[in-house]
Amino acid sequence: MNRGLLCMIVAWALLAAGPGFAQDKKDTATTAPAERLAIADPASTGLVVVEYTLQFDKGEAPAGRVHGVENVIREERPLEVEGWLVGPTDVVTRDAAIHPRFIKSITVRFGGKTVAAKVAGYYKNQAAVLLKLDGPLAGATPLTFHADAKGPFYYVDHTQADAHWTTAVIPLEMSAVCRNDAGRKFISTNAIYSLVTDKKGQPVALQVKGEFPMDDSWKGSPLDWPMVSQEDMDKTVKDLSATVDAALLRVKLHFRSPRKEAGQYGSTSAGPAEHTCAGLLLAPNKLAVLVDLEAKLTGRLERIEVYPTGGSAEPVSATFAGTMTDYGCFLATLEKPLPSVGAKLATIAVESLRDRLLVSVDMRLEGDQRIVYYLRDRLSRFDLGWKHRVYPEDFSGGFLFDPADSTLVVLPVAHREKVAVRDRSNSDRAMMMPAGYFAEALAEGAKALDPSNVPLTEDEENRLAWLGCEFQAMNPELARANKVSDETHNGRIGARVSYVYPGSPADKAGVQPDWILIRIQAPDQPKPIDVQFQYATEYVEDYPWDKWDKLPEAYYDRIPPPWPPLENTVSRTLTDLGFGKPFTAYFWADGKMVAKEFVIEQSPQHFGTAPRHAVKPIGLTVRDMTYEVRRYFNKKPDDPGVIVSKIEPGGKASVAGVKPFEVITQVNDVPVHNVKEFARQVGETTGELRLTIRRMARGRLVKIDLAAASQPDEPAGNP
Amino acid sequence: MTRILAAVAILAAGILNFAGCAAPAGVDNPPGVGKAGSNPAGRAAAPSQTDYRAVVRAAKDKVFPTVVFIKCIREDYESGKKVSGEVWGSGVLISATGEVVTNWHVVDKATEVRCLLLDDQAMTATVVGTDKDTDLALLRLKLPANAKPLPFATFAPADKLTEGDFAMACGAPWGLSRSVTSGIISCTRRYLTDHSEYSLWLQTDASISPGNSGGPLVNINGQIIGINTRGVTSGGEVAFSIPSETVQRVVEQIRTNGSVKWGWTGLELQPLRDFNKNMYFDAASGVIVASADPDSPAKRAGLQPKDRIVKINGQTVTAMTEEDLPAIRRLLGQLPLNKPAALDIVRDDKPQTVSLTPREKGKVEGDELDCPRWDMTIKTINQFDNEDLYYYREKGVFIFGVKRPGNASNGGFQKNDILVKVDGKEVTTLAQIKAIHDETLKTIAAKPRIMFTILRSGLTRQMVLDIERDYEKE
Repeated sequence: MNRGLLCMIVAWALLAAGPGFAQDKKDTATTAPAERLAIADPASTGLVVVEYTLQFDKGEAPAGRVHGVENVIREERPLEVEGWLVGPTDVVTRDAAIHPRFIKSITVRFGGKTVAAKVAGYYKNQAAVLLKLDGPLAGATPLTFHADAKGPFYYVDHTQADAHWTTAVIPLEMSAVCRNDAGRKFISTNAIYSLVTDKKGQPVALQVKGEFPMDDSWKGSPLDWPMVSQEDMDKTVKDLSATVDAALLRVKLHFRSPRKEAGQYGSTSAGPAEHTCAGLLLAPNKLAVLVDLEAKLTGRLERIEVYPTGGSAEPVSATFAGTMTDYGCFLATLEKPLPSVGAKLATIAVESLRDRLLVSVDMRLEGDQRIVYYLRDRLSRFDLGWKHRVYPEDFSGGFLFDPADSTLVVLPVAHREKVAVRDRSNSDRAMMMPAGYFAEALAEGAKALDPSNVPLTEDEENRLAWLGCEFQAMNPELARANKVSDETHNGRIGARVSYVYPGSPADKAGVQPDWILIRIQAPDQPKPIDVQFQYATEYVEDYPWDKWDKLPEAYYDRIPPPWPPLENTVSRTLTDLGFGKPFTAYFWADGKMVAKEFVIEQSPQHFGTAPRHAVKPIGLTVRDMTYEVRRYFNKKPDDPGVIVSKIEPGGKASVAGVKPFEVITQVNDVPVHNVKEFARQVGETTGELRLTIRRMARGRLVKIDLAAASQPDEPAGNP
Repeated sequence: MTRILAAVAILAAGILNFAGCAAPAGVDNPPGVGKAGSNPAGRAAAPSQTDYRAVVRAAKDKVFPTVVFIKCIREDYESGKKVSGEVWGSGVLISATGEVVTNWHVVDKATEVRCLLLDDQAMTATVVGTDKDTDLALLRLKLPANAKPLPFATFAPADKLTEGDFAMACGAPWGLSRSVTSGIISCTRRYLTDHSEYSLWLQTDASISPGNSGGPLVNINGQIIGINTRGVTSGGEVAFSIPSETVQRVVEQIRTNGSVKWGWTGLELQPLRDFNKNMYFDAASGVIVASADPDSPAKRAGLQPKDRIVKINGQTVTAMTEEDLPAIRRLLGQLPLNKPAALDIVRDDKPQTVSLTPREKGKVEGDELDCPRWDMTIKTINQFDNEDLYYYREKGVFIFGVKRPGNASNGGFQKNDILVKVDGKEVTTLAQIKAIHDETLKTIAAKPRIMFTILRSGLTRQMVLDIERDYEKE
C-alpha cells in the first residue's frame, strides 16, 4: 500500500478519535487507556497482513486503486494491506484492483509466519476480495462475528504506520445520519477498512465502505456477503469479451495531405496522415469513433477504416456521419454492416451502480494491434458535472461494463468545448461519460451534431471565418499606454486592430483601427474566449524583397508570404464556433468597452483557399490576388494581377527570373485580374508568352518560349 | 526568416566595396618582349623576368608620387547610434593643384579627410563633390599657400583597352604604405547587377584588398585606366575598377557643379537579349521598356512596357545585352533637365515619337539623424535608396538602425520601420523627429514613455518606447 494513502487514513482515524473522546464522556470517564486497548485483544489473532508480491508486465508498472506501487517493486518488498481471518483458511481483504498480470504471488502473514493464498472470489457489493489460504496460519484464529451484539461499538483499525503494523481502538460514531435528494439514506462513519467490535471486543462486522445502512443489516460475518467466485468471474469476463470484441473496434482514419501553404518554415501542424483510435459499434452499421478532432483536421478526413476484431478480418470502410457537438467523438456509417448489434448502452442512472462489482475494459491500440485487459472495478463516489449530470469520481479509466447484463456503463469520451482555444488539460473525469447521457445525445440525431466540424473538399479545407481585421498583439506596455491594463490582464490578452478591411463585418459594425479586441462571447459558450495572439506567430520581419535575386531557387519554397497569415486566434475561433452563429465581440474603444454583435461569416477567398493555376511546362503557379494580398500590395479590388505562388526551381519561369510573390499584371499585353483570365490568356498562347511582372515598385517584362517549353525533351544522340 | 537571411547574406557578401585602401597598376599592353617600357609590339612573345620587373617599376615610379593615402573620420548611423570611426582608402592626384579622385564610399559621411602624399606631406582635404551612383568623389587638398605643383597622373584613352592588357593596382591596402599589384585586364565590360546604373566595370586579376578603394589602376605607361573600387571576399583574383572614361566624365561634372545632376525619367530598361534568363526580343536595334514608374516622366510621356526605344534625341541606341544598358541609362540621365527629349520608339511594330521630359533625380539617399536616448537612428525615405519603403510611404522617415542593447530594441523596434506618428503627432521629416526627441529628453522623469505608430510590411503597429533607462551611462 502506498505510504501516503496510509498516512492519510491514520490521520483521518486520529482526527476522528479526538471528538470521540471528547463527546463520549462516559466512555472517557470509565475506560482507562489500557482497558480500551484490551478491547482489541479478542480480535487480535484474526488481524493478518496480506502481502502482494508485484511485478512489471511488459515493462509496465502496475496501476489500479493503489497508486505508486511501482516503488514497492523497486524496493523488493511486497505491497502490504490489512486482512481479516474469517475462517481457518479464509481471509477477507480490501480490493486493491491490481490487474492479475502484475501479481506474482499473494501471501498472508501472521506473527512472522506466512502462507500462500489465492483469490477465491469478489464481493458483489463491497470493495473487498476473499482469499483462500493454502493451509491454516499457525497461531491465528478466525474471527467470529456476533450479529446480535449491542453498542456502544468500537472499531479496531489495523494499519501500517510509522514502519509498524499498529492496532488502534476507536469509539465508533454513528452521529451523522444522512438523507440525500435522491432519497438515499445512510449513516456516515469514521471507520473504513476496519473491524467493528462491541465493548468486550467481540467482532460484530467488517466495515469497508465508510458508511452504514439505516438498519442493522451491516452486522454479521463477511462470509455471508454475496460473492462472485473466481471461476464465475473468469466465465463472466470470457462472456463479456465476446461483446467487447464485437463492439470495441480498432479504427484507422486517413487524412488528405494538407494543401501546402506557400513558404512555410519547418513542419506544419498538419499531424500524421493516419490516426488510429477506438470505435464503439452502436448498431451493425453505426459507429462512434472516439477521437476528439478539431474542425481543421476533420476537414481533411478522407477515409475511415474499421477493423473487425479477429485475426485476418478485412477492414470495412465507413463514411463520416457527423461530429457530436458536445462530445469528443464523431459518428460514422459502415458501408457493410457487421454481424454484431454493437454495444448495449446502459440507461440506468450511474449512481445506482454504487459499489457494484463491474468490469473495466482497457483497450489499447498499438500499431496494428488491439490489446484488451479486463479488470473488476467499482464506482464508489460521484461528482456533479456538466449540466447537472452525475459523473463517477474515480475509477481506473477505460470502458466500464456491468457484467450482470453486459451493458456499457461508462465510456471514455471527453466533453467537448466548442472552441479550439480551449484548455488542453481535460481532466480524467471529463473522459468518464456515463453511457446513459451518451445514449440521450445519440437519440437526438442530427440535433446533437456540429455542422461546422465536417470533412471538406480540398478547395474548402482552409476556409476561415473573418471579422475583417488585421491585428497586433497586446503587450504590457501597449496596454498601459492605452489604459487597458486591467481589461487585458496587463497586456496578456487582447489585440490592437491595425487594419479594417473595407466591406468586412468589422467595417460594417464600425470597428476602427486602434480599437483593441479583448474577448469574444458566443451564446452557447459559457467561457468567454480571450483573444490571445502568440507573439512569435504574429512577429513580422522586414521582407527581403531586395534579396530575392540573390536567393537560391532551393529556398523559394521555404519563404513565407510577406503578409501575415489570416489564420489566427480570432479567425480560428470563429471558424470553430461555426458559420452563421451569433457572437459578441468586446472592444476597448476610446477608453471604454464596446460590445459589437456579429454573425460569423465565412471570409472571402484568401491566399490559402485562392484558386490556382499551374502552367506546368514552365513551372509556374499563380493564385488569385485575394483581399489580404491586395491589402499588402496596396492594390484595389479591380486592379489587374495574379500572384506567383510557386516556382519550380530550374523551370522555364525560374530561369526567366520569375520569383514567388511577384505579381503578374499582364499576359501578352492583356491585363489579367484572376487566374481564370490568366489561364485563358496562357491557353491561347502557343509561342511566346510575355508576362508583365511587378515586384513591389519595380516592373519588368518576362518572355518565355512556350512552344519550346511544351515539347518533350529530345533524346540525346541521334534522332 | 533568419536562416534565409543568413543565406542571402552569404551570397551578398560576394562583391564588396573595398574601402580601406587600394591602388592598382595597369598596363596598356601585355608585357612585351624586349626591353622594359618598350613599345608593346611583340605581344605574342614571352617577356623575360627582367623585362617584367622593368615594366612594373617604370609604371610604378611614375604613379606612386600621385597616389594618396586617405584617412577619414566617418559618421555611421547604421548601428542605431552615431558612431564616428576611421575609414581609409586610396586616391590619385589628377591635377598639380591638388585634385584627388577617390571613391564615394571612401569619403561618404566623412567629417574629416586627411591625406598623405608619397613624400610624407600630410594635409587635409575638402570634398568637392561625390556621386553615389558611380561611386566616385573628387577631393581638393588644402595646400599651403606657397606649395609647389604636385605630381599628378593622367587618364589613358579608354577605347584602346582590351582584355589581356597589363594592369597594375596602386594604393595603400590594409592601411599600409603604398603598394603595387599587377595583373591583366580580365574583362573590359563587366556588368554587375545593382551596381551598373551608369557605368560598366573593368575587371582585373590584379589584387585589390581593403584599402585599395579609390586608388588607380594604371597601364604600363602609368596612366589611369580605372579607379579601383570593388573586390571579392572569395573566389580568387577578381576585382573591379571604374573605367577612366566614366571617371573623367563624372569628375568633370563634379568639378563644375559639385555633383552630377543626373536626370530621372522613371524608365526601366531591358536588353534585347538575355542569355541568363533565356529571353530574346525579335529586333536588331533599340532597347526594351521594362516599365515606367508611377508618376514619372516616362509615364507622363506615355511609354509602356514592351515599347522599343530606338533613338534618343536622334541618337541611335541599342542594348543587345545588359552590358549595353549603362550607356543608355547614362545617356538618359544626362539629357538636359526639364527639357523635352524626343524618343523614337516602336510600339506594336509601328514607329512613334514620344516626348520625354526628364527631371532632376536629386538625392539618392536620405539624410540621417541620431536619436541618442531613443537608441535608434532615423533616415529619410528615399525613392532610390529605399524602394520598398517608398512603396508604402513616399514622404517619411524610417528607422535606419537600432542599437543593441537599447531602448528602441527593448521596445521591439526594427530597422526599416516607418515612423508614422510619434507622441500623437504625424511625422514626415527629420526636423520633426529631432524636435520631438529633444523634447522627450527634457521630460524623461515625468514622461518616460513615448507612443509611436509605425508602418511595418504595410501594417500599422503601435509601439511604446520607454526611455527611462540610459544605455550610454558610463
